[in-house]
Amino acid sequence: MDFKALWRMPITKGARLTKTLRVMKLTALIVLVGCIHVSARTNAQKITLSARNESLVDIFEEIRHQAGYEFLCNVYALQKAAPVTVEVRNAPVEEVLAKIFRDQPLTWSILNGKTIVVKEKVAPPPAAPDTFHLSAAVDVIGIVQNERGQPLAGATVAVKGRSKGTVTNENGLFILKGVAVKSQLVISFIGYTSEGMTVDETPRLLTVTLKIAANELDQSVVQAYGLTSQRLTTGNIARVSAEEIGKQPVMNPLLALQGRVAGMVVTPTTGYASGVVKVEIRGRNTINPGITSDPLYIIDGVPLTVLEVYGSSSYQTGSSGFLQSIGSFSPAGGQSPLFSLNPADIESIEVLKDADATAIYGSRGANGVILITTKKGSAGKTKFNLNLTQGTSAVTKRWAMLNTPQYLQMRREAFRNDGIAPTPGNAPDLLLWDTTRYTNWQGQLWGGMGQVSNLQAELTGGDDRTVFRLGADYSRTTDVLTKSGANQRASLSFNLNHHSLNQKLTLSLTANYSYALINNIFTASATYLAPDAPAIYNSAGGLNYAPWDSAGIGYAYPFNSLLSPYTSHTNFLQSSLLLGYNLAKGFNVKLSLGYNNTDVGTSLLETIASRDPATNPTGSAVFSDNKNGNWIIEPQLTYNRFIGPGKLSFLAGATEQFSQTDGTSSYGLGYTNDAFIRSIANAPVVLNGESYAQYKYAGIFTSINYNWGNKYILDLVGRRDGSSRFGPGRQYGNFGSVGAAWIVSEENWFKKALPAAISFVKLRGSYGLTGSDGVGDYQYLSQWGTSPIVGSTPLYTYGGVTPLVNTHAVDQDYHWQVNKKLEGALKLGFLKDSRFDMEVSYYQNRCGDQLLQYPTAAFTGFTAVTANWPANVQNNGWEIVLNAGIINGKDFSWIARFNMGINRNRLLSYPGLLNSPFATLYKVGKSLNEKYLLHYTGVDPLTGQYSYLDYNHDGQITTDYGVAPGAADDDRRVTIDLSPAYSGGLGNEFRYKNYSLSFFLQFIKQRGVNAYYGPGVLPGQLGNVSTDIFNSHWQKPGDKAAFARFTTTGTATDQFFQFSDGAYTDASFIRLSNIAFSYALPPASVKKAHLEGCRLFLLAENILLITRYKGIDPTSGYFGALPPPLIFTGGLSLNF
Amino acid sequence: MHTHHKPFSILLVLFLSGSLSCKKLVSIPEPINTLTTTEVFTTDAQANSAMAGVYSEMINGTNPNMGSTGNITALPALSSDEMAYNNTGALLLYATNHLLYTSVNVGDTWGPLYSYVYGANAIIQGIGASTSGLLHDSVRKELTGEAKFVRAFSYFYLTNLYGDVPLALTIDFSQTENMARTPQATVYRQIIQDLKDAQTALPSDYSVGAGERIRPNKWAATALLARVYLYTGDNVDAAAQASAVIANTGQYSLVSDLNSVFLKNSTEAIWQLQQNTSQTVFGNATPDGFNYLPNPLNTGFSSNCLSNELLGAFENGDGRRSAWVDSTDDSNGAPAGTPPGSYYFPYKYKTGKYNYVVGGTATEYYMVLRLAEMYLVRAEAAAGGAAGGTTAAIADLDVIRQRAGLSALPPGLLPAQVDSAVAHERQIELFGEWGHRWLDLKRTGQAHAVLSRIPRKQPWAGDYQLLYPIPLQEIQDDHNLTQNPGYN
Repeated sequence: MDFKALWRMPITKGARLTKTLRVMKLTALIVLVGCIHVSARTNAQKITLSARNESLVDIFEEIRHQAGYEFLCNVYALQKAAPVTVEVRNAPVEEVLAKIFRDQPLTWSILNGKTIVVKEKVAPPPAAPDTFHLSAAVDVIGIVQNERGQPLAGATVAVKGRSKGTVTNENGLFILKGVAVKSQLVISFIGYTSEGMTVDETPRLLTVTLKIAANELDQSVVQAYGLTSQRLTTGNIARVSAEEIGKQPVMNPLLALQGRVAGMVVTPTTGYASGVVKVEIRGRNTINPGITSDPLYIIDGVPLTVLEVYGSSSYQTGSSGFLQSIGSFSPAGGQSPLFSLNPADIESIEVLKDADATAIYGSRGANGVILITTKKGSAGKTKFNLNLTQGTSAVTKRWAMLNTPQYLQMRREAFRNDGIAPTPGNAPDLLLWDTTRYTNWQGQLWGGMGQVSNLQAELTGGDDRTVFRLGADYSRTTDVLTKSGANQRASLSFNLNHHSLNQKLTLSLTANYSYALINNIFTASATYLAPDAPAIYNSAGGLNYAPWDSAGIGYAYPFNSLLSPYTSHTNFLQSSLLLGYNLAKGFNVKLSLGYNNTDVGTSLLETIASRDPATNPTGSAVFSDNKNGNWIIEPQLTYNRFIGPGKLSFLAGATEQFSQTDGTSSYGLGYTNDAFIRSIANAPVVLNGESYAQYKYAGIFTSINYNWGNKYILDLVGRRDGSSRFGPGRQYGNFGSVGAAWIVSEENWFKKALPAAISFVKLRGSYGLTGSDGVGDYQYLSQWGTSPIVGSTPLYTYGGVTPLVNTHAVDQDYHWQVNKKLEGALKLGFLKDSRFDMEVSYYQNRCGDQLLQYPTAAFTGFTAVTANWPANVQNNGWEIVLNAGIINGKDFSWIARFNMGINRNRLLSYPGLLNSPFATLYKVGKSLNEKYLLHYTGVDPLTGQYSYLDYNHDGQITTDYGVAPGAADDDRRVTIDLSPAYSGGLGNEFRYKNYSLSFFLQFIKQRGVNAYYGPGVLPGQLGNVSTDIFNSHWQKPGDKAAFARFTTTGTATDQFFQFSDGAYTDASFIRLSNIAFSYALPPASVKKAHLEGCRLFLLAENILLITRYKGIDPTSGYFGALPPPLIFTGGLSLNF
Repeated sequence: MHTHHKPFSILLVLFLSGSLSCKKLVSIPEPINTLTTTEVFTTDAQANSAMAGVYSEMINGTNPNMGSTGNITALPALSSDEMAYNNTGALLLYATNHLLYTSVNVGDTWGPLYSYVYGANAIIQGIGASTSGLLHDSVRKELTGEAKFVRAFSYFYLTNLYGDVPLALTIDFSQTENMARTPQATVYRQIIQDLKDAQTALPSDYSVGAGERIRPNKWAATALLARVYLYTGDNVDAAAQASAVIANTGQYSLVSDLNSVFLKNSTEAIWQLQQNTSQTVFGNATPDGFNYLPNPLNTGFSSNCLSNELLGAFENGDGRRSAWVDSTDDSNGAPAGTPPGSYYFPYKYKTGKYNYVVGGTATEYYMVLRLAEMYLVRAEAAAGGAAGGTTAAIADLDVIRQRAGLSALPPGLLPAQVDSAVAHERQIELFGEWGHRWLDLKRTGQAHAVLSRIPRKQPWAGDYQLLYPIPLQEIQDDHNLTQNPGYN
């Protein structure tokens, strides 16, 4: 902005300016000369002037030029100024100003040592009685700024107890006319502590400096398209800060959220660092087991949309994420998109839960929204921070398994029980293998130590107008599994924030780039292997297939994957640009542009060496490339002004989003030489597959927020969205919400009625509609492709003709799913600044008109069709969040945080359930996660078989999955709900001088699968078992045993066990999931080392588990699964 | 200050244009890797690709180790008295006739067969609805005929394995989603109608498959029709249809060398499925060759072994015993119900696990219909009352016996003796092919008597095991569908 042009305008083009401003309906005419906070020169400079009948404005310009002072004045007043004649040499500014203004009808004052405020002289008020003073009214002019002297635009200045107020302009300036003397002004801005002041009779320019809020209540919280605070929000927003994330040595930021947010359950679906993480907020919404519970992820305003092009995601396993082509045989079952994001780049993660918070994301807010905001730079000295972490991980818990003699005894006993003679075909472990061998397979496979290394570097700096941040990270973790490779990620992030000289233009540019390299292998089960199973390698160093082949089970040799490496390379770019322009006071336009792009290349090499030599193998390789691109444009208009008794914030905007996911895979087959296996061109046979989808999304949205004296707040949101996922005429849907808050503690009567210890009371509630289009793309379109599943291996040609097959059933009638969310909450603050605060919320979410893959029988051609179904699922529950600054001393502080969520899931109604495919799975009034089971009545002392209760006394135990549970001949009458009853976390942070210590406990009350009864192998079959089973199994009639007789064949009673309540157990636990200790070196010694700061820290993860669960870890579920490892790291943080 | 209004107007224009062209904002082009139904049936080549899709699913389908159709041989062979199972795992339930409706593999034939039905329905409907001039009448007729043949073929196995089955004749899921079972008689009526239509529509040569016997022609439809008539007790028509094929000596004749019967395009072949040798599971082997031949051939392990019952049924000097059966040394013992000391395996196909090559040249195709069966159909029909009676039946049986190097049957056998001679000849000639033995035992009412005595099937679970259970998921997905009795 050209300074001169701007301030000259009023003088030279006065008439036109007046007209324009009249249009803007401003009652006072204020021009800010230059920009307050820019001081190009030091203020101590002396001034030399020589002027004769110069205009005052030219004199100002000269002073500005020489000494860097800025001038603030009323334009009308300026027009009254007389020409100036002055002669000074090297004079201080005060002296110069005194001379200039001596004969002027104006006065001056210096603000902040750098701004000269010029005002008309006001005659001293006539002496009058006090009553007159009280009713006297004055105009108040002021500036609201932060502690760095930066203006705060949009701050509210309200007259307490009156329906009067205003909002600061882009320069932080406000004018409040006719304010009664002695009235109280309250100046507030989100993220800052409000300031109050009394209006006195002598009008003067007020400078209000707001401090960044230290209390949780007033700290800023990111919401959709803006900021709010826990004090003012009408919706439910939970925040996890950078500090909390930084204490956890994880590569995927989602894993840092475990237990931190009430009502949100975060579950890693595999033990691999890059694996998919299942996130569920407030329970399961959909009855369709094929639809994931993924919330909407938004990184710096850009939705992270990965299209489902291959359909391998499910409710149980979560979204397969970046790996979307069938050729991606990831041992981890997919790759979490958030793995590519460096947790250290994240400033905060906000979780939006209720309708009020999520409705502005309209159609995609049904499962909640997770907003990820990356770190920004800060002005001042350029700072360099370096952070080094190094550590190890290990599996510390093992199953007690049978040794070889016990194992052989079990097997022989099983054959005896069955009356079957062992043959090499059915008992290679007894007859073919060396029965004197013993291998501790857990020790072999889980015995390794994983490595965790991390290097973070950060450079921040800038001045009042431009700040930047550069971040870089290198992380490497190796999995505990002895043979598997490493997960590595390197990232670079950049942020630039700028505003123009006149504060009207703002710009924020963010870019994150990362490269991840993952080397994994599929790993064999460590527990099922027989203790006398042959060694992994033979004497020649090759894979030891021979002993398995001799039993005809070469295909069951479990270690072929050791020589079948899997690799993935991920390039991830996330960028966003936010441009804002202040059109007029209160009016801002914004344009948000976002782009993200991912390219994942994977390869799985099944080498000849990895295969059974007896089958004359050839090698094969699968290469896949998955591209995911996404852009979004969101123009927005905001308007903030004080209307009537309160402040109105208006937002209108539009969204256009485009996503494309493209996966290709090449299968190279028939390699006869492992040396060529990385080359697709050298494959004798090549097959190609392709998965592809595009997605477009458009919407217009508006939100109106009205805040009446920080006491009554109303929030309305409306949105109309269209999605390319629907057929013609079904593309658009309307969504919206209403939210309201009543800050009771602002009421005068309330203050009088309640003790001072209660400092804050807020009631809030919301109701709204959100939706979902999560059904995959092109489902309305009949599609024929070269394979039955789009994107999978193409069918082979027949007679030289390339095949075409229909890929899915089509019903064009499906439409938006609608979720209705209701919430009410009470927030209480105790003591000064709400040192203790507590929020209790109740919610009720209903998901109706469910959009799902409706299962159909095979003779319809497909197993499912996309359709809406009138099932109505309700999740309701309570959430409690407590934050307590228990001790807040100079040397010692203790903060505790607690959260807990109780959710109840219920199928509320389902017209036609009994005639639907879900008749045998669900019951109205029951949870979707309810299991219908036989009642286990123990091991029959006579037969040694498991026994069950014959509910219908028909003389046999029947599990009839053709009817509703418990109906007709079905004996499944017991129910167990696998939804967690409640879950949450408790964190404690202690600080003593330079030491700080924090620990985090995660807890969950739930039932889970009994680990003794894993899938597949029965005790007595080829495979090892726990000693617990061995020690209390049935041996002879009359035995009272906990486990059935050993058997190699099994009978229906063994099959039934997994369908009985015996297979489920209490899987609740309390886990000490994180301890962080740090020590900051005293400033004196740090200075000596020419550092700004230095910190040493120790972090530990998965330290302790308190549970009644009999397996080794309730989260890993079934017998043999790898439990979460103990991670221990230490590090050093240096600030330059 | 004028300029300050510009962003306003830009925004306004953006908003307005946004709302005016809402449809464009959310419309995406059709996917680059697929075609819509309408597009598929616009040209001859694409419609032909749709037909190739069905065959490819039949022979190269993705069911692990089996191919989609290999199951139709493998599972009934275990259910009958032909083979014993030498392994643990789900297939043991077939071998012992202890199927559970919850067993994971009970859908191994149901799902694939219905997917062929769907493919056929889609082609019949797609061609019917197409108005494209580039889809020529000759191609419409030919492909509709093939689709009807495939539909009949699939329903033949569905009804024989599962009994009354839903008869879906459309791809409109709203008509099929809640279907109940259709009585077997109705299913057979539809099969016969489809085959008659196919007979009319299909050419009599193999020009569609470029001379290879890999696409069903008029004679394939005729041969299957002969079998269907026989199964439905219409002996006269069965004999007539079988005679028509047998009389076409220009195209079909028995191959005298037993080791050459199953070669690709052998003169005995009426319809073969051509495996794509690039496919990874069995390369240039056929599904049955891959499944049954041990690796290495004469020392390796075999999980599906020929049973005492079958091996004991061969007459001395039967050339088929030496040409079509082989064994492997088994120092470790063989499964119950098979001769000790060796694994015996079907050796009709010569390419198997031990010598298959991915991408290699195929010498054998997967035989589906062959001429020998027509002689046996006609023999049985004649013995059952069709023209020629037992004399004609014996004559036809002798043709088959002669090829196997056996002496002619004595004249003047009693009708009951002819019946058992037919059954015996079918057992030996067609063993290990497409479930013939299992279906024969069931349709002739011999199943209980023969199977319930076999030691490895003890205790005999009950005759309900003669129909396979319908996959549980199907029952759940369609409330009108009931399970076969006995399974719960």
